[in-house]
Amino acid sequence: MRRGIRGRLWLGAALLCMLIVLGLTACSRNADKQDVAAAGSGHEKEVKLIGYLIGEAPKGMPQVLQAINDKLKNDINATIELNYIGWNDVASKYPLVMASGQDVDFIFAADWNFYVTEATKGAFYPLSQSMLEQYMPRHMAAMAPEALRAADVNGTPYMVPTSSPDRKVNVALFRKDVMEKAGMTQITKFSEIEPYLAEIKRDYPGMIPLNLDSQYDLPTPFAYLMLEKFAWFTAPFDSGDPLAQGITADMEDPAAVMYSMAEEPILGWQKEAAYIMKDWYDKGYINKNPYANNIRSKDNFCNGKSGIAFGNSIDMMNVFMSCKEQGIEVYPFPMLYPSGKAAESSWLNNGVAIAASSKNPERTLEALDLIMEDPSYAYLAYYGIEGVNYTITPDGTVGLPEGVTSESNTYPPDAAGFWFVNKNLFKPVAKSTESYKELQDRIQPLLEPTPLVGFLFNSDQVKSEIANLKSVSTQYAQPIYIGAVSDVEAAFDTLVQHLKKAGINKVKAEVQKQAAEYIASR
Amino acid sequence: MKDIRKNWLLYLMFLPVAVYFVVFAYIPMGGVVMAFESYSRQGGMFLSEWVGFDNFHYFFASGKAWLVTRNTMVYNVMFLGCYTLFSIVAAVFLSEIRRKSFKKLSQTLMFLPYFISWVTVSAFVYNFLNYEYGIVNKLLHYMDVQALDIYSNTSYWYFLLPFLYVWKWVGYGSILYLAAIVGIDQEIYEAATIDGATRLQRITRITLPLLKPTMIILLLLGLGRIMRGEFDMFYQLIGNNGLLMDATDIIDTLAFRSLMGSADFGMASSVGLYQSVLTLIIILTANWLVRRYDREQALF
Repeated sequence: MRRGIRGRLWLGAALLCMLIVLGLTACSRNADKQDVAAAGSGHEKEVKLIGYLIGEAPKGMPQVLQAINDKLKNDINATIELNYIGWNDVASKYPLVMASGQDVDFIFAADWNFYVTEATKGAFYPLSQSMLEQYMPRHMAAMAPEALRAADVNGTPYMVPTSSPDRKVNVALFRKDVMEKAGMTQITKFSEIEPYLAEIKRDYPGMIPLNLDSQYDLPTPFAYLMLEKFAWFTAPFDSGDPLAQGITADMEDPAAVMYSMAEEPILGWQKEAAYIMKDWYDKGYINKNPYANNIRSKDNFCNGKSGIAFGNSIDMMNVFMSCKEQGIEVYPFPMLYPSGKAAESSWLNNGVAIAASSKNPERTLEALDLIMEDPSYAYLAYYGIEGVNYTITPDGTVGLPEGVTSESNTYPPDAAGFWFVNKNLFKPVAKSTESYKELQDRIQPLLEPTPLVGFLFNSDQVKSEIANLKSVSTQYAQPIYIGAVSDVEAAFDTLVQHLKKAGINKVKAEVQKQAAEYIASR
Repeated sequence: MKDIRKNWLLYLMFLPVAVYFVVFAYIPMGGVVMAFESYSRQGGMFLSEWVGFDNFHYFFASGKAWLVTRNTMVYNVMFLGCYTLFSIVAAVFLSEIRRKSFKKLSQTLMFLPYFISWVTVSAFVYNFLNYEYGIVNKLLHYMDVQALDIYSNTSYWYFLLPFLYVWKWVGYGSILYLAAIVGIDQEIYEAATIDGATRLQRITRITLPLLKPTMIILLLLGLGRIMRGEFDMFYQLIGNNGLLMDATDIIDTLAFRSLMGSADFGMASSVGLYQSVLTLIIILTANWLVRRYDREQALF
């Protein structure tokens, strides 16, 4: 009897397997057919395109999306559905969305956001010059040709870079009232801000001088200190993760000599920065538990919980305005190289990719062409609905409608994650603050092209080493960044020992090889 | 066949369970092959390049393989022990409560944490214990006691983690044991009472010995999870806190941390396979020990 049951089970299992296999092949066949069908046809069939962006949908998103869809339906018989990947779990969710095989048509892509990793894994749809010219004529006319070439991974572009690369620098904001009390008129070096920190500690109960979050802010003060030593990229080339140790170079060095962060001179500079951070941490200028804190300092700055805000000159525009509305005057301190310059953003700083699994890549490209380059679409995506979220003032600038403040705006500019639209289409912003304008005027001439800015590292050969470097950094480097170590020398000894064990030298050799090829190819 | 016809109802009742295990436990086992492959999207699960034991290289080269294995086991043994102990104690206490309304109330309150996810718990804990705004440190401040820096000291967590684990699971565990206690023949207690046994004697001589079979089965089932760390708990409570990591890193968090960015299925499943193999060894050993000691109680 028993054997009989077992036989049945086997038969059942075999049948199940066959069903699954059949199902799989059927699916892939379907997809092939659709590809062929879509290429030849126009817009007869209505399609729904699913997109993923980074961040969080602003409150006014449903209305804006409705408006975009009404237009898209009219123009190319398509609608889009948007999903967001929150900042906190980009690192885990982005690869997961691409790997899971769920419906994705387009997704935000950038060199700082796993572009090469995902492209080499085959997650993105391979594009070509001719395809883009056919389906994105407006964009191809607006975008510099080198941008597309910069996106090449093994000879094929997998993303559509923006036609208006950002001209931005990282910046820290200080409060002018605190600076006055601390007797400071200007800040020239980040390592000299101790009086400012001490003043907050002394006279501002409830405000933490450096109230860091677990992702963005955690390595940032340390990075500012490192930048006084050399033109640091703020993230190693191998993992591109600002929280990790790895391989770096002086960004202004034309020969692009690679150093591992575990060797001199980088190691010595790291130690100097670490001593300052430890001093500040011990004096109570830094929150004790950044690991568990999810609120970025820039979102805690105007309400008086953080003494310094960290961000970049574009995403901080709202902070300038919010603080002004609350009567706080701010002092911006841009993050510059020791030479006083800063790197231009790469071509791939913002862009969008088509998922390899997309059933309608052509229509998706057409929709993106409209959103990125047609002013009526681009305004909707970036600024929202005219009269509700923004208004064009008589003198030709973008401002807020009456009765709307930057706090109450349901669709703040730049917040919806459509960072890849052509920003050159927009009229200048009306109501930015004086200090923001000054900052803009000051940084624009400082931006310089750097030899390695478009260098994309392909980690295929050393992926287990990089996984281990990240893991080691989490445990042994992150406490150093915030100064929470009892003995700086000992902490670095342990760190270096573990980095070597994790294979940092092997990674260095691979980065050196690829960087040399990159420099030679330019 | 005759057996099936005779007991068709029993087989029918078994069917959903069988289907569940085939679909969710046996078919996914095919994925084990990924541990030996360099996974690529073109090759998929079965046709990717075969790389042998390369994927395991990362885990053992991390230099932390032994540390995290040890942590996983030590924490889980501690959790299992505390959980069993407190569940039994709670179940016995509950069974001795005469007043129905109070019994229901306390049972409900104990069960409540079971429904709170670790994400929420970690938010509580952070607001209780963080250095600057935490309730605990605010209280200490009013009493003029030095503030505790809990998030940078491992010693607190050796207590906090088992405490939170028990807090969350004891309501659930006590119900299992309470059900076993309710199943004990009441006449035994009546007879004992007539013979003059005190309440404590009834507990130690009747209830506890009769709970032993339930306890052994639950322990054996618990051992099956011993290499699977309570990932949610560690990840939410500790996260990426490097200061606590030597004391709180378990296999699951190490694997998640290093691989979440790369989403390399091959390396991730190699860690999964490592855990499964160790679990298999542990279960077989435990069951063998139980069988040597008492054949009746063993699982198989």
